[in-house]
Amino acid sequence: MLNIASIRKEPGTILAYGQFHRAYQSIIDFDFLSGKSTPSIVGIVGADKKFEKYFWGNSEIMIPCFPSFTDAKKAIHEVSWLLNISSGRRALQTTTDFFKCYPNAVGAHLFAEDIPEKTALDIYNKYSRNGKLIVGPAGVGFIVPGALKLGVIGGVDWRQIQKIGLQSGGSVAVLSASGGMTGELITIAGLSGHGISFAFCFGGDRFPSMTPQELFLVAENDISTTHIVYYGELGGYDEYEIADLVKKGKVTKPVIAYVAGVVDETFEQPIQFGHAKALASNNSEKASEKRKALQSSGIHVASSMTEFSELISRIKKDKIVHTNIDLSKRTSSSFSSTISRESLDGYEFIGTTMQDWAREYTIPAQITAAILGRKAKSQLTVDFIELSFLLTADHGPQVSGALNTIITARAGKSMVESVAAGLLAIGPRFGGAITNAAEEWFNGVQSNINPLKHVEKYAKEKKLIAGIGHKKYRIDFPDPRTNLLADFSNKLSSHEHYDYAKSIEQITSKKKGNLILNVDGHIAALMLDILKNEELMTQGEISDLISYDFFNSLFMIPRTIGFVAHYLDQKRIDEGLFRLPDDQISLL
Amino acid sequence: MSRVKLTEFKAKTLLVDDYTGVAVYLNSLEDDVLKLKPSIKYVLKVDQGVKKRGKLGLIKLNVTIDTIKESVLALAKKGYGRFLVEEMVKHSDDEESYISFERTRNGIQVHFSQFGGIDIEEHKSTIKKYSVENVPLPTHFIKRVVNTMEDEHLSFVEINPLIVRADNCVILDAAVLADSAGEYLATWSEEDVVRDRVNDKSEIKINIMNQTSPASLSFKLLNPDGAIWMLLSGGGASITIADEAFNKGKVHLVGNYGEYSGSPTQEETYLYSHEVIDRALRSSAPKKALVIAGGVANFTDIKDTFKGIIQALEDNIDKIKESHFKVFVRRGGPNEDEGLSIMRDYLVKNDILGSVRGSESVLTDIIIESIEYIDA
Repeated sequence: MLNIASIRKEPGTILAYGQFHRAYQSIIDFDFLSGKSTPSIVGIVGADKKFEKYFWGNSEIMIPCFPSFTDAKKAIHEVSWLLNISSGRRALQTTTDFFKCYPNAVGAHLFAEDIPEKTALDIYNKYSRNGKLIVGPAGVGFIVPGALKLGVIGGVDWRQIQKIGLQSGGSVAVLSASGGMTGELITIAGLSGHGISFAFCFGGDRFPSMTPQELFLVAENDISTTHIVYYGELGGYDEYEIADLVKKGKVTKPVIAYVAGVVDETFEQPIQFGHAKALASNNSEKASEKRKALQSSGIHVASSMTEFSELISRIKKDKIVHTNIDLSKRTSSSFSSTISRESLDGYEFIGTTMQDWAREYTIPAQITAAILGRKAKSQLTVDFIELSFLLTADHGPQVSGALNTIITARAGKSMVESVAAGLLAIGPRFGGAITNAAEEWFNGVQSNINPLKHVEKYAKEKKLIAGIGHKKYRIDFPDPRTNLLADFSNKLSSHEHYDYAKSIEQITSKKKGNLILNVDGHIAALMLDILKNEELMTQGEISDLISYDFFNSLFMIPRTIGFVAHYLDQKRIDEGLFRLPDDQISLL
Repeated sequence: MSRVKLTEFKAKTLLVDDYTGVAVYLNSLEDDVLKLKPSIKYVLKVDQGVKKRGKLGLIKLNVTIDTIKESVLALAKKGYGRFLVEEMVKHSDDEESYISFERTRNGIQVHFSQFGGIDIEEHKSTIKKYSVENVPLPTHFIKRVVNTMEDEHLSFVEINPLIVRADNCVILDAAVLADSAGEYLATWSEEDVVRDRVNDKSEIKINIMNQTSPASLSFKLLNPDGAIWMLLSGGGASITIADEAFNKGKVHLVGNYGEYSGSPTQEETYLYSHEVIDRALRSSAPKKALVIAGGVANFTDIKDTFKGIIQALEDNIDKIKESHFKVFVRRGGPNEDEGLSIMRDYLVKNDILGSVRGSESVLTDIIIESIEYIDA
C-alpha cells in the first residue's frame, strides 16, 4: 500500500511525458521552495527537442528531452514516477512504454480526462493490481508537502505554493474527487493555519485507479495525518464503503466531509454534471443519501461550504514554516551556453579557468575539450587529435583552399579575409572527405552492411567512396602518413570502424592499386572508434555528431593553421596581384 | 467523458445479427417509410431515450405501411422526431424476462430475472446478480453481448423484455449506455447518442460549441426568467456553488446551470460567456445577478479567462447597465491577483460591481451575496 512516510523520506524523481511547461515549472518551483538540492523532474519524453529551459529559483536550468522512453532509459537509468500528460487516446500506450523501460518505478499520474473506462480498467488491472500507484485517470495529481508534487495539484503559480505553505508539511489529509476542489480545500486548510500532510485527487472518473476507500486507509496509516478532509460528489457508491470502514474501526481519525450535488434533486431528470461519475441514476447515488450514510458512521458531514470551511478551520492549527522567496523578477534568456563564462577567477572555458588550462593542460587537450564540449575521458582521444592535426595542417599550395587564401592575400586583403576565403572553399569536394567517410563507416558498421555489397553499390552507381583513393600512393607504395595512423589503431582496445574501413580497402585496392584507405578515411574511422570506445558515446550521440558536421572540425581547425601560414608567406614574398594567364582559360 | 445513451436502433444494430428494424425520422419520413414491407404488422416506438414509453403511450402496436405516417405525425405532435419501427414479435407476457450487463471494476456484472416487461419494478426482488459465466442463458447470447460491450465501449446494457425460446434469445427492447470517451474506438458516433431535448437557442449554441471544443462547455436552462445567472468553472466547484442556491431554498431564482472547464481558450471563454450573458439579458427578471465563480484553479490562468469574460460583458455593456445587472465574482488560482484586479476595475468603471473575491473567501459566499442583492 501507498506509504506517505516513505515518500516524505525519499520522494524520488519524475519523468514527464508530453507538453505542459507551466505544470513542470510549478513542480520545479515546488522543489526549489521546499529546499531540495535538485529538481524532481529529470527528463521530458515526447518532445521534439534536446532540452527545455526551466527556472531553478531565479536561475535557468536545462531539462533533457527525449523522443521516447527507450531513449530516456539510455540516459536516465532509474526514475520513480511518471507524470503522464498524454491524451486519453495515448494514455495506455505511453504508460505501458514507461513501465516497460522502468519496471521498478513507483507509479504514475494520468492527467487526461478522456480516458475510456475500458482503458482505465486495463491500466488498473495491469498496474494498480501489481503494486504500482496510479493517480487518476483525470484529476490533478498528488502532493506530499516538502517532498513530492506529481501534477498540477496545488497550483502552477509559485505564489500559490508559497501562499498556502505547501513547501512545509502539516496534519490534514485532503482527498478529493475534483481537481478544482482539491485546490479549494488545500487553500482553505492553508489559509486557516493548517498544513496538509498530503493531498490526493483521485479524480471524477468512473474507475479511479486509487479509490477513496484505499486513500482513507492510507491516511489512517500515515503518522503525520491527524484529520481527513474529504470531498465527494453525487454518483457512485464510494461513500457507503467509507462509512463502513469507519464503522468497522478501520478508520479512526476524525473525518470532515462534503458530498456535492444536492442541487440535482430539484431537477426533474438527473443531470450529468462535469465529472464522468457525477450522475445519480438511482436513489442511493444521490448526494443526500450518501451524506446520510457518512453521517451514520459518525463522520462530520458539512451541509454547506461555509460549514465545511468552518469545520476545517476549527482543527488544531499546525506550525507552518512559511518561506518568503520572490521569484517574480526572473526572465527567460535568449541564448544558452555551456562552453564558457566569466567567473570570479577570470574566465572559465569548459569548466576550467584559463590560467588552469595554461598550468595543467596542453593545446591538444584544450582543443579536444572544445570540440567535445567537455574534457576528454581518455588521453588517447587527446593524442589522436594531436596526431591527426599534425598530419592535416597543410597539403600544399595547389589545393583549392590554400589557393583561395594565396590569391586573396595577393589581392591585398587582410588576414581575416584571406583565411576566410580559404575556409569558404571547404565543403563536399574540398576537405569534406572526413565527414563523408565518417558517415560511410558509421552506417556500414551500424547496419552491418557487407563490405563487398558496400563497394558493389558504389561501383554500380559509379560513385567514389569517401576516404578511399590517392593519386600518388598505392597499396604497394603506402602513404607514410597513414602508417602512423595505422600504428595508432594498435593502441585502441577495439576498432570496429577501422576494421570495416580496412575491409573496404581490401576490396577496392584489388580492383585498382591506388584505391587505398587515405588519411581522411583513416582519421574518420579511428575517430569513430575513439568516440565509441574511449569517450563511451552512444550510437545516438555519434550519429548526432555526424549530423552536426563535427568531423569537419578535424579538417577545418588544423587547416586554418595552413591557411594562416600561406597568407603570411604571401605577404613576405609579395608578388603582387595575380592575374591568370590567358592560356590557362579556354574560352568556349 | 461520461456515459451516454445510444438510440435503441443503434443499440440493436450493435447487439443483434441481421437486425431488421428501421430508423424513421420526422424529417425524412417519406423516404424512410419506403423501407417498410406491405402486409406486415409493425411496432412503432419513439427512439429518444425516454423511459417508460409504454406507460406514456409512446409505443404504437400493429402499425402497417399504410397507417405509419399517421401514427408518426401523432407522436410528432408531442414533440418527438426520431422513431424506430420493428416487426411485431408475437409472444405472451410470461415469456418476458429481464437482463442487464454493467461494466464494473471487477468485470461485467449481470443482473437477471425470469420476470421482465414493463412491470419489472414490481418484480425487483426477483432480479439476481450473476457473473458472466453463470447466467442461466445460452452462452452464445451472453458472449455476443459481452463482446459487443468490449468492442463498442458499452458500459451498460439493459434488455427488457428479453424473450428466450430454447437456444434463441430475442431482444425486444434494449437500453444502452456507451462510454463517450471510447467513441473514437467504436463504430457508433455522436449521431447515435440520445440527447436531452433542447429548445432554447443558447442551449443549442453551447451544445454545438461543446462538440467542437476539447474543453468542456455545458449549459442548461433552468428558468428562462431567472434572476441569477451563473458562469461557473470547474466540475466540482460548479456543483458546490449550485448546491448553495439549493441550501438557501433559492434554486427557483437561478436561470441556468452549466460550467466551462478543461482549460478553454480565451476565445472559447469569450464565446461561452457571451452566450450566457445574452441569455441572461433575455430574462424578464427585474433585477439580475451574474455570478462568475469557481474554485481555486490549479492550472487555469485567471487573468486570461477574465479577459475573455470582460470582452463578452463589453459586447452588451449598455444593455447590462440598463437592466439592473450586478456582477459577483469569486475565483482563485494562477495569476489570481492580476485577474481579479482587472475584473474589479472593469466592473467599477461600468458601475456593475456586486463584489469581487479571491481564494481567501469561502467559495459559496458569492451566491449568498447575489441572493441578498436580488431579494433586497
